[in-house]
Amino acid sequence: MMGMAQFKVVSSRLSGHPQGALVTEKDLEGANIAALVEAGHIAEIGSKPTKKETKEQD
Amino acid sequence: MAIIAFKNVDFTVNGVNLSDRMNAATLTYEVEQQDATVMGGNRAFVGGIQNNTLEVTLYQDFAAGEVEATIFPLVGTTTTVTLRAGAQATAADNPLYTITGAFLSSHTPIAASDVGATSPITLSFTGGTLVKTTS
Repeated sequence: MMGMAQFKVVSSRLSGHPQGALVTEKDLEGANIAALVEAGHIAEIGSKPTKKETKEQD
Repeated sequence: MAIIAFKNVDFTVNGVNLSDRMNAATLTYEVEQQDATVMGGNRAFVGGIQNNTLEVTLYQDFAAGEVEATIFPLVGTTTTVTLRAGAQATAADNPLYTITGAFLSSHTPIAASDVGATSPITLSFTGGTLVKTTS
């Protein structure tokens, strides 16, 4: 199971999410996240691996 | 209720509010008619599938995070678009129309028809599922 990616809102145009806010894929449900990243509205700040993923990587 | 003059229509595409770059919008909610005529009867129809269209005209803006940056990556993909008569809160007299799975097939980044003129572009989002919300 993958960890849920987190994003920082970097533009002032994202509806319902102020600039500087942290959002997850769930918060952006229905949106084309790749397009939002490419457009410069959000920036990925990394995903948190689950405990299981951490063990698998060891 | 009063007759509405649209002055501040609220528009988002892919969650991005581009209302202040838009100057026209037309939402068409359609359910295709399917023939259900039978022998001995008159022409009759039943509702088929939704075939929605949202056309918006935007003034082009190439700055970071503006029109071009927002629209260009969406060509050939589906996304969510919303339209509301006014920017105030959604209500019975200010319904929010949301199309999920709207497809954008084309985009004209530069439409410079006259020297010195602004450069409005027209986008057509088609298909998807339309939902009307009043609260």
